[in-house]
Amino acid sequence: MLESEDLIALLLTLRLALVSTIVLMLISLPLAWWLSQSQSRFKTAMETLVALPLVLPPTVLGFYLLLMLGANGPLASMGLTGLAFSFSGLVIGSVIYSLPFVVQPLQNAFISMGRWPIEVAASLGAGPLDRFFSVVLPMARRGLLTAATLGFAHTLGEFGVVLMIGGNIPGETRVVSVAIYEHVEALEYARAHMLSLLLVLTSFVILYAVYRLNRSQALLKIGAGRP
Amino acid sequence: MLCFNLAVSKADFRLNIKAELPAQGVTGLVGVSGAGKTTLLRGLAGLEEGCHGFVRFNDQHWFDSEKRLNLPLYKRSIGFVFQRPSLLPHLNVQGNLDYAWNRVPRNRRIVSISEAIEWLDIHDLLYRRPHQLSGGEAQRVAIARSLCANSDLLLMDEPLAAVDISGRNEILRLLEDIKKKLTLPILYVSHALDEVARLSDQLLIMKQGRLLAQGPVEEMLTRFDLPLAHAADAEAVLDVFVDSYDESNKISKLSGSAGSLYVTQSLSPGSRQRLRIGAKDVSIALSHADDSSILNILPATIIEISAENGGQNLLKLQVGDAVILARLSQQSVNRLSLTVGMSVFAQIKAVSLV
Repeated sequence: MLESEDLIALLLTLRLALVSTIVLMLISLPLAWWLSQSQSRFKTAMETLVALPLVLPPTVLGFYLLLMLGANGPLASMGLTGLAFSFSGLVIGSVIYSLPFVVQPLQNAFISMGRWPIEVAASLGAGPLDRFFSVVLPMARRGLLTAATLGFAHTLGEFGVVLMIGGNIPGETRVVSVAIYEHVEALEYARAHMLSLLLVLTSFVILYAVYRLNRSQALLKIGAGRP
Repeated sequence: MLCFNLAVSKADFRLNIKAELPAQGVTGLVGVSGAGKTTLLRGLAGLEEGCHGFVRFNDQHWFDSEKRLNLPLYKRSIGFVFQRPSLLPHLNVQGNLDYAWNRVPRNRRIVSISEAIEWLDIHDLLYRRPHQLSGGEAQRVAIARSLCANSDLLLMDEPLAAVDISGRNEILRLLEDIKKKLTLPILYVSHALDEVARLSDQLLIMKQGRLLAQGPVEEMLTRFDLPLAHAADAEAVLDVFVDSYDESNKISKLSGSAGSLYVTQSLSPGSRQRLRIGAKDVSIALSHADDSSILNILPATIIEISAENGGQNLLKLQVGDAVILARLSQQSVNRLSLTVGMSVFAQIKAVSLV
């Protein structure tokens, strides 16, 4: 069974994924909405920036984050010290690392919705903020769920960024992926196995739930023949 | 009064139109596809980008490109019925109506939700989801919703284009009744002649992004220099008053600017009706045929004759103070030696009551 320090790592991972997902959604909703509506010339640059974590090695990301968050970094000179090798630092790293996995499904959901629901709501007297909460979010709820789940699942499996900026402090920055690495290094294969299997199962269940939900709703939509 | 001067340039199309619309009644906006009807409507609503000019409604300035003024749609108090049924899919029918109603300031609530439900006959649909409605049902809900919004101006963009025939007739019938209950001005876009003939008080005819003509519907439908009179289903409209109903013969007597007319339909005396008389339903006789089965034979004067393709002639007839159209073969015109100014009898084979 799980030993207590593995359980701590597991709970920490879940907490990290949860907090990161919340922060991710708060940042990504307005960002994805802006990307889906804007015709600004900065839009493409922004999209590229958001997509960068998809192609960069996590170590590159982690390295720059370490410079940013470290004791001599720009954030420290602004008074934000102690972010590196802390839980807060991990959250920042995870958010940036998982950003494309949350922004892109949201942006797609907003675009596929089309302009018409917004025009309809406007003709019924709803202002921009009102429309966003009363029409855009409820209509994009599948995209919201997909985005949140992908963000959560992706944060669960993060390794490189964590190792660079978080290190390996039990209860603070030692997440499951790092713990597995440690176990393998120490040739504790049984413990590595247990954690790995848990991660595989958790990820499978989460992704399965998302696909299942998307599928049933997509069928419903096609069957109804709506625009 | 709605007063506008709008210009928009698109890749293959240019809209440039200036007009004034009265503050009440239904204005039909007609023209072939691509004439710019939808673009104009969207421009008035503030949904079209790159507009130049101005839009004023009563004393409110909605848009003025010179002053860089562009009031967003939600501040313009415009109800919009779109071509495709556009119910918010995450709300049921009641939810869609509430959505509009909840956003109307208390002191501006004139039409209530229950009135809108009754007028559009959607009581049985209230708990359905939009995807469970037929095209006609969805459009009825969309119209009810636009009434619940209690706007100052109602724009309708071919609301019946995506509705089947039976749904279409039902909605037209409902709209005719609703029109009498509302005071707000309605701009109704359509390319179906019968729709605008039934509903409109006046017409705006557009062609290639420009205003071709504007005026009372009776005049616009029968002017030979305009395309509507030459359409295959050309017709004239007469607004009449029901004089009396003869119970034994099941016949109603109507009077209006054309004189007295009879229809075999029970109508309540005192009510106002609109009659539509198709050009193909009118024939000409030189004398009053007393041995004819035709119910309505009226003295008329020919005021215009125009030869059309396919050996047809279109005649414009003055009947009392009204004008109707008659479509005859070239042969008939020759045989009767019909000329402008002649006094004849118009035999009206059929009239459509609206």
